Amino acid sequence: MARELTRGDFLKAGAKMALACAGAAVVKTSFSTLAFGAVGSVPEILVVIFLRGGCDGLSFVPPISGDDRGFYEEARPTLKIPTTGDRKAIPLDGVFGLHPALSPLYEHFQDRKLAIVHAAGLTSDSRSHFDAQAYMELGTPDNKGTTTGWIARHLISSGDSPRSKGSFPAVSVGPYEPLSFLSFGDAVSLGQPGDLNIGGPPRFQARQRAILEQIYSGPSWLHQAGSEALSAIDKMDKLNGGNFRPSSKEYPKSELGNRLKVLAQLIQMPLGLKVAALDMGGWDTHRYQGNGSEGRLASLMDQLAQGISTFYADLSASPGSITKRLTIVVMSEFGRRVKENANRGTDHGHGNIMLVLGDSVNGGRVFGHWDGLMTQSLYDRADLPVTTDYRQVLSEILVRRFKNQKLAFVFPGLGAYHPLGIVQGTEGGLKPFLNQAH
Amino acid sequence: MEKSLNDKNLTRRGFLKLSALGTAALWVSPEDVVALHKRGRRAVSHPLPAASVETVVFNRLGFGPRPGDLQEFHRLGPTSRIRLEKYSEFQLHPSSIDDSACESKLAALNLSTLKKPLRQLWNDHFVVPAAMRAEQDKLPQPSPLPSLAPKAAPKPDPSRDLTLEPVRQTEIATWMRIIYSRRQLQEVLADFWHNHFNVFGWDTQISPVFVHYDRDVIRTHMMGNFRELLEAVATSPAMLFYLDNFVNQSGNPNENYARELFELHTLGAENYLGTRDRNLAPGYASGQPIGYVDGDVYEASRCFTGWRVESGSSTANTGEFAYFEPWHDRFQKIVLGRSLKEYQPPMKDGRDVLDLLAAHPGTARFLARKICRRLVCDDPPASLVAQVASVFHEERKSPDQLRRVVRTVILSPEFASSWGTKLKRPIEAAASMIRATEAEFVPSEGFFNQQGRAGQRLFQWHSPDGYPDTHGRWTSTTSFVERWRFCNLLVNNQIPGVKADLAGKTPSGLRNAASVVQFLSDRLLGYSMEPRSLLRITSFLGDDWPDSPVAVPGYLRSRVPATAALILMSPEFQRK
Repeated sequence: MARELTRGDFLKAGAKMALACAGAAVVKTSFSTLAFGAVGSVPEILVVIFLRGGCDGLSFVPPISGDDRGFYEEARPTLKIPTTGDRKAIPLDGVFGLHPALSPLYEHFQDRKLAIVHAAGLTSDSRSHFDAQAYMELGTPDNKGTTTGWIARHLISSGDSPRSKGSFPAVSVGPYEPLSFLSFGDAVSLGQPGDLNIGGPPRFQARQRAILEQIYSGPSWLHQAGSEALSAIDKMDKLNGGNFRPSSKEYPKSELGNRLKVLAQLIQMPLGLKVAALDMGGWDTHRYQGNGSEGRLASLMDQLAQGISTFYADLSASPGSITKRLTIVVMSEFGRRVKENANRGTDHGHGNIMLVLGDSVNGGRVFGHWDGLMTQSLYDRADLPVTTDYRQVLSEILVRRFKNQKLAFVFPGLGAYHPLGIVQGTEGGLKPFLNQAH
Repeated sequence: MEKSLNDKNLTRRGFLKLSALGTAALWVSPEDVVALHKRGRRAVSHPLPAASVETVVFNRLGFGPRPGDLQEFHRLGPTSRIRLEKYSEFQLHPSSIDDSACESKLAALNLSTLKKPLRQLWNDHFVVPAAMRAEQDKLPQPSPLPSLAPKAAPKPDPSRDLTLEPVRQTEIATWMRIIYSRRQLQEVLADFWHNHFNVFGWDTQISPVFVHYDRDVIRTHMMGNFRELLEAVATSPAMLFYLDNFVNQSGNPNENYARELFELHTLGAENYLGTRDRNLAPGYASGQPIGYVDGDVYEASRCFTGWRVESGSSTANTGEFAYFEPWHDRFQKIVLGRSLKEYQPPMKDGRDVLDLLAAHPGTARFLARKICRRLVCDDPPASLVAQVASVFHEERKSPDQLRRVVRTVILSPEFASSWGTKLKRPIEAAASMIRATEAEFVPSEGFFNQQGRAGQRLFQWHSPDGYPDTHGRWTSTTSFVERWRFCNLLVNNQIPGVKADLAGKTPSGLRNAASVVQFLSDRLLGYSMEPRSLLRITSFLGDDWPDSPVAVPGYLRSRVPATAALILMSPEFQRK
């Protein structure tokens, strides 16, 4: 029972309809332009939250009715998210529900700020975490040898020098930089921005830094890494005067909560931040993942939903309503097997959900193309197929929100551009491919 | 490899010429140096001193030289080849090295869990976490489940300390050996194999048995036979818990362990052919597929059904490995083109899979490349990988296969000739700084936290691939800034448990800034620093130095630590 999840969306319609919808989008954009300044002068911000380990999309957004509910319950005798009782899935559109632990996100769905894309993901034929993460973050499925990440290529092609002078266009919070930043020299990873100094007696610090700058000037990767770290220290000093004030908002006590709290503050500082990447681990639920508002998966979802929700509230209350120009994307390397295993867990799968949240999102809908859960419709007869390439979702955000049309550079080999209508904005001069086969 | 390896523009001799100018060279204007630098910049990579075999040996077969190590190495024989052969034979037979000094320091710390046998570790340290018990009580129990049965009432905090004691003590002991043991290669290999067979040591089920994993699995087999190591890992409670095989049972098996066994432990992702039909794998027809497909992972996971841990339910509660027949899938399986008959004897299915994997040429190549990546360079040349792989493959029945493999790497021409293309990871950077400064070291929580901030606390990498081993993954801003900050904390004695006295070790008779910096850089690096860097650092010490031929002790005392920190922070010191 194939269906378009975005009934009435322009993809399904012909070109005429498409024009009409595009017109509507233009109107919305000019509205936001009037109220909040032109896109471009006030920079858009993208936050990518990567769920490491392969999150179980069928628990995030399970089918709640029809034949697929039957297939789902059959495949998930102990893990199914119930449709009745106090731990039931929250109905989204009559077809799909939202895991009860994600209830903090439901109000964003109701406010039409949260969109869900189902059966999305990486088209590569791999159930390896590490390959799949690398393919996704490099933005080149089936090629791990790419030397630049997709976020790096996006920033470079939208005019950011990989060595910007006075800003932090790309930031990750935590000790590691994601592969999506690869080769963008000015990307920084920050634990606590206040820690961005080399320590030691204050009377020597400036002089030590000056010497380091000299001895790290050189073309090798090592010299570059050092001078990038030094320029990050300098910039943070200049922008912040060394005074980092953490957000006063109470965040949930979790690693993600802590990271989002730091990020909220970074976004409100004049750092020129454009893209942020955060990781959240623990999603590889091969056993005891739980089935409702309790269990391991529910507790992870709770951290995720509480974290994002707090972050969103924090930023929408901020001066200038930052959420007006913020888009949050939640993604993972793959979904999990439709059929549960004997340990009340799930093994590595394929298609998955993506979440897109922001004031400029056409939320309140489940996007994508759904082929159903009949065995014949499944990828390798076992997993949800990928019917929406995750790069299409990201491309649409880049084109419509960031005005970056250089998709062939950001996602080489992607082919035609297929916007689903998830975010507001126009295609500029870019011609979307409208004759979707389905 | 980088061009700089062959770059002889600025060799030691070149530097001697420069420094023959003495203090005069000190006052070359910075603009001159910059101009000089810019001229050289485009030609080739940044010139680095050609490092000696000694430097390579102590930085890549160990955690950096201590002052005096290089001289000792030099006394091993008349040529560097002989010295290298002798040194590596000692290191490949660690028990031949007297390590009593390190052992007595370790003994003084009274790490009580290190000698406990597995049963006692389990009995003393495993406490069922309350959350896990609650979850078990609530969920329906359709089939026999692994026992997580309580053996003691859960007490929140003291029990957590008790649970984590074995992994904490292993962390302390490992750091003591990294810093003080003369069996340095042993520590490098232990780190390599811990990462190759990574488990998250701080898990509440894994921590109690972590001493066993480190002592009886990794360290016992790491210079032995790979097939034996593989089975020791497959039957270790730590790995059984970590990759969920302890609950793997017939009917609907759990494929977590089987997948990582193929992808990370043996054949590697480079030999993964995806979801295609297994008979489409090249070589399948002749019974020797060149790689594996998802079907092999599923079949292998059936082979390991019933490999579990004795943890109370329908078995004894010892914490030891047990093969549990009722959970085993007894029917026919096909793995890597071989048919495994139904009703094989106990454990035979799983052992057949381990045999097939350990003997596959793809495993030899994957392991060879990974070992070369650790010991030689990030992207080892194909010829070296092929040579090492052939030793791995041909010696697969030898009881000391892995020792032979490592020896082949060390004695290869590529080993000694490749200097400086690898970045010391945070552990190696911190260890080499402590060793070079001869700081007194007692592990402390403050020290460990610092490692965590730099991104590499031991046994705390969550996913099964282990900490990354190539420089690209360790050059993030945070990691670099923490690395530098560590230098300043170290020289100023701001890390709990770590005490350095650089001013005290600097001879008071040194008469000018250049000679002090020369002394410090030779001592800390073990070789002469790149001359321009040396000049820069000299200018730091010399800036306010009265142009006097007499050393001023108070001035030295105040400025030597920060000068030494700069040497530790230099690009040279980060390479290996």
